Amino acid sequence: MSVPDYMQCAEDHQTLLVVVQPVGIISEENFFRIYKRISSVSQISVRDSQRVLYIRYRHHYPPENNEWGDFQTHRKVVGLITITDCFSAKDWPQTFEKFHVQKEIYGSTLYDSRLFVFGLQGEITEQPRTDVAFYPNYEDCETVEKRIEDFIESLFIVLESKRLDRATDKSGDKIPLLCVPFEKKDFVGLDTDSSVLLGLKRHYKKRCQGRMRKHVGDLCLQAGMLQDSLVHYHMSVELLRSVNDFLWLGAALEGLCSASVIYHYPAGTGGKTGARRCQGSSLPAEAANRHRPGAQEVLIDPGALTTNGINPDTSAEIGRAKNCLSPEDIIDKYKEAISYYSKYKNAGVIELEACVKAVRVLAIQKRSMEASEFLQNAVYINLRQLSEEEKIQRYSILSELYELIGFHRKSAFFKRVAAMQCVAPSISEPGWRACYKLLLETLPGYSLSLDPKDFNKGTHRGWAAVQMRLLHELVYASRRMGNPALSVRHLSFLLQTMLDFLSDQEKKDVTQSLENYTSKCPGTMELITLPDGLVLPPVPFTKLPIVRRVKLLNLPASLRPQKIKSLLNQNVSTKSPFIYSPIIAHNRGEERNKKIDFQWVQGDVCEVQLMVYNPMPFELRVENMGLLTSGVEFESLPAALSLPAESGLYPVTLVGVPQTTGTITVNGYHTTVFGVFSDCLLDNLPGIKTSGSTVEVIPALPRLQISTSLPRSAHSLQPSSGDEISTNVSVQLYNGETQQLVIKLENIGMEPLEKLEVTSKILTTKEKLYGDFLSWKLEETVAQFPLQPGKVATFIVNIKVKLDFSCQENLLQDLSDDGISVSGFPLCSPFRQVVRPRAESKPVNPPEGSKPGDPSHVKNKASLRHGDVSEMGTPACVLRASAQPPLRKTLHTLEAILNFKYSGGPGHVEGYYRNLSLGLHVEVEPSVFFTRVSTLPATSTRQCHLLLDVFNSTEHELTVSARSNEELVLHAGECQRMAIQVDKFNFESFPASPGEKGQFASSEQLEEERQEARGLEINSKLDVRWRIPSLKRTGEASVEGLLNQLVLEHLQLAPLQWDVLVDGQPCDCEAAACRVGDPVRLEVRLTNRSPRSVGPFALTVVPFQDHQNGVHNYDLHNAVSFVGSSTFYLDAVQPLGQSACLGALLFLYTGDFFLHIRFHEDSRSKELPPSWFCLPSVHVRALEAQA
Amino acid sequence: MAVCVAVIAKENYPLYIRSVPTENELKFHYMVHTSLDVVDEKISAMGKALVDQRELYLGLLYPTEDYKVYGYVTNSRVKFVMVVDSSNTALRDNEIRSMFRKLHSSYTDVMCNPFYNPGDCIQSRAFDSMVTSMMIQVC
Repeated sequence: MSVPDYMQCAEDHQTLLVVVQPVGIISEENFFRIYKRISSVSQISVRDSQRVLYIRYRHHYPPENNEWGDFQTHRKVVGLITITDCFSAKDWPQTFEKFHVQKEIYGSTLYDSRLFVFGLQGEITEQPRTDVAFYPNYEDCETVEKRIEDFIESLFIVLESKRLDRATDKSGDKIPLLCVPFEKKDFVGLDTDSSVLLGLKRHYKKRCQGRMRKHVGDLCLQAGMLQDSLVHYHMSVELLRSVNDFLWLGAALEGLCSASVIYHYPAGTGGKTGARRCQGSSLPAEAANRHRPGAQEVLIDPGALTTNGINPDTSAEIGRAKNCLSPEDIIDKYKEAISYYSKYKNAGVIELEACVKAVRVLAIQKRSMEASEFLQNAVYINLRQLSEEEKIQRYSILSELYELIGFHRKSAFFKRVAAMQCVAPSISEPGWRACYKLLLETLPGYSLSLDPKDFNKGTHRGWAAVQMRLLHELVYASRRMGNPALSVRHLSFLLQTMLDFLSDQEKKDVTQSLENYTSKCPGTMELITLPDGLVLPPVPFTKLPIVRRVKLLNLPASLRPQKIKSLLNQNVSTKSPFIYSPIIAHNRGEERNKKIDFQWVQGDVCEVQLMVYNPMPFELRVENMGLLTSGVEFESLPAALSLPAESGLYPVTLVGVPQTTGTITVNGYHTTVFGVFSDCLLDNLPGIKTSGSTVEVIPALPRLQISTSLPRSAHSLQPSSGDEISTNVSVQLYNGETQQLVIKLENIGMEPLEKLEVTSKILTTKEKLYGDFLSWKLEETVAQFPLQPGKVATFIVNIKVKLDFSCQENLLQDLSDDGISVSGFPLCSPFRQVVRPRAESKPVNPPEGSKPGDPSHVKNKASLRHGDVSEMGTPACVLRASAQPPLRKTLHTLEAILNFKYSGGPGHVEGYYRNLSLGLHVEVEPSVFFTRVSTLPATSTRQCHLLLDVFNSTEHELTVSARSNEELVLHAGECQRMAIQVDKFNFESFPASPGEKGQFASSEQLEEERQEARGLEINSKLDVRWRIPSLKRTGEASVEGLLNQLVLEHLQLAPLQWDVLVDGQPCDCEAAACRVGDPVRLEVRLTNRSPRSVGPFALTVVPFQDHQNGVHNYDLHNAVSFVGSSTFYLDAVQPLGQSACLGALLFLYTGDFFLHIRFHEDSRSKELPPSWFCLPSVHVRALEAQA
Repeated sequence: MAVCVAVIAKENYPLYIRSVPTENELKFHYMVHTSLDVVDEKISAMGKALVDQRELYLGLLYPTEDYKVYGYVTNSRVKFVMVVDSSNTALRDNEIRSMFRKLHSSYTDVMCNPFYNPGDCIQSRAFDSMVTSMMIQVC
């Protein structure tokens, strides 16, 4: 016996073995249909008794196993059912012959046989035969079951007769020796009768008896007489133990165990048969009752026991459940039996089957540890060389049994071994499909699920090495099965879940093979359903690359939509009467968490930034990477990227265009890596940082692109107050220059541009800026609106830079040592405090004249006076500066932002606009400086000369002009004085509006404002312009910044207006003519414009002659004579009043005379500024008297 | 003497597994993995016993042709599995016991490391060298 039946279980010992076989040509389908019907009759209650007969059907049974039928009767084929097709009467004899041949095979053991013939009709069928049944076809055979029952009953009759025959064998001494096949030759030639040794004979007899007892026990068990069988087995054990017939002793013990198991576990131990037996099963007590009649039957025939020489004592035990082994004893006896079996190499199959049976019993008893010992033993039972198929069967059954006792890991191990056996190299046709199926079954044992979601929870914890091996095998098996989709799926799974455990080399190998597979069959995101119902979920590569952070990006500042703030706050719509309620505030806060508080615009490219990481030791190519979104129709623009090996965090920007409006949610991204498509959802990604993934998409807006006539600048403005500037332009201008900036506005969007607003903002600068820096006229541009997509509009901005033209402080310092008092530095300068007193200590008071004791003054003034006099009437006088100050060329920068607010299209309707900023960077180079400012009185008291020392700080020749007078040419670095004759100003008329601002501004501010206004006035009068001919650039120069109080006072018309009239003619600048000898009337008139009364004053007229060489001759007593007093008295003058005093002069000689009208020291009110007492000097030319 | 030493977490995944480099590592993985069935069985059988009376040493889990597999379980259900060569008859139960005790104390040291997260793989060098010493010894 060589073929083990692994399905055997203990209760099979009570069954009768019936073989059902096809004969001739019969389709498998039909055969199994009938076989199924036959095998449904597996349990028969025997007529007239309560005994139950169990049948075991086999459609295949090796005849050599049949030879062991004597050893254990349930191995004996006792019935044969043959099924055949026969369609014509002609074939009938042949068919019947075949039936006989079939019978021959099991002939020695058969009790009875049947032949079922299908398809035959006619007279043959009419013949009533017990062993043959005819059916017209496979459908029309209701009586099959009935037939089988009859058949089984006939089997029972034979069995019962045999049992009784054996049990009551009266043959006395001549009990035949039952043998197993391999024993037969041992007993050949052994003459038991004439044995020399009496002991041997007795020994032999006992052996025969013991074996027969065991045999009877088997028959009893089969015949449903459990208690009898127990008795017989017990006796047999006694007998055989005494003769050391170990093999049969083992069999007897096993029989005992089987009977006990049947008694204890009527539900059966073999899982599959259990269900079938349920119907016959009942409570153990009931079962005992059921079997008792069988025991009684033995009692009926007591002679059978005694005559066989069996110890009559045993009869005392009959009918007692004590015969039955306890559950613990069953296992002990099994162990014993197996240990006896193991003594015989040829009984390997018996031993193996015994082990399996024992394990099944133990599984029911839940004694896994002992069961595992039995199995362990079974593993080592060495049968003859097994075929591959048998090996697979053996491993599978081991796996099943381990599963049965709850050893899932062990079970998985054997299942895997079985799977590997399916495709062993020695097999010519490897069963990859079976292998794959078995491998799948091992998955739970290795606690491996094929759903990648189970691996998302933190780090993977499991038997990585073992699991990886299994996955590799799955991949290989599925590939060999010819299912590349499956192998791609498994390989992706391996790569995704076991990435942390793969070595660098393995990573390379796995990806290499994955790429090979996907070149034929790309990996998808679809579920793969296996034929047996297992569903393989898709494996998204969330680790290739690993995404650490997802951030939705706002649109660039220039495209960011902004909401026009309406007076109706949106909170009103929350239907709450409260302006603020904590509940509402809370709700809003929650919403904000989910929703990002910026908007995307329909039709505009929107970006999402991912921080990705490549865990692979080689460059990772990710293709077709795009966004997965919901809520809004979104056109994703996939990107391809290549990540370097083991890269750090790497920013990747995915883009797309929302096509509709609403709320968009970014759910995840999709990739193609190694030919596998993956949809990775953010929710499933472990350890991802995201700052919300929902954003609102607003309707489309136009897009404006700006290009300017100026070059772009790399210099970016300091981002102040959060303004983001899209374009920067820069220009270099000379101080005072004006330039036009032409801005081209192009609508590059899809919507018409309907609305444009322009504002400018000058970034805070230290420089004081005069005049309007930027000015424009929007109307011309707006006239071109609406601007259709693709159209261009122009917009012109004038840039005018007018910084302080006063020279820098360092320069001032250099020059201030010069004799002339210096003024014109910025008012805010700390230097002012230092200079002021000096300026006061040396008051510029040209009309007063210089004192003789001040030589330096005298010299300078004299020369000036000289020029003044000699070139009377020319507005500019030139003085070449003696020293060229070392000027540092300092650049000033001015920065401004032009904001274009524009809107249009549907977005405009919704109240959104866009803001585009143009940064303007102006570098201001100094053009001219006014290093000094001073005034000189002009010949007329109503006018004065403004002296400006102009310094050319450019590197070019420069011309300066004022009031469209002739130009002054300045070489680079040259400083020249320029005198401009200006009418004095009557400032009082305009700045006096203190009532308006007085409340807000302090007096200082007021004063400053006033000064500025004056500066503006003066500047507009002066109209100083410069020109660089070589560069063809022109500009203005402003003196606003350099006029100080002192200069202003000089430029101001004094409130006391003095007029000197000679001969009734006002004498201001021109010489008055008179005749020698004639008295000349001299009138001094005072008009008081100041708000208070002044005077009284005493004035003395001092005539003198100017020799034009620096000598004034005051000794003119002989030449000029006064008519009356030389001293005038003026009474106090009320505001707006007028006063005059009259005198007369008599010139005795011809000549040019000057009259110096001087105040008496004591009469001058000290509180009044000296410039108020500025009287014109009178020039009288005495001519020859006309005869 | 030991050819493979493994520490297995309460949830039955390996915290540490090391075998002699000369042999096929995967074989021992399988061996230790399957031995867990027996460990589980023994623990469940033991479950009813009082905690303080519980014997941590599980004894021989199962013998194979070439090796013997021994088990040990801590009170926190962390399992130690040791595979020894069957040919090494010098090893008695007592030696195995003492080896397990050494392993246990070394494991305790690992757990005392404040930088070790329970449940992570053991990467302690001290533990490693102790295991190495157990594997070289007597061999």
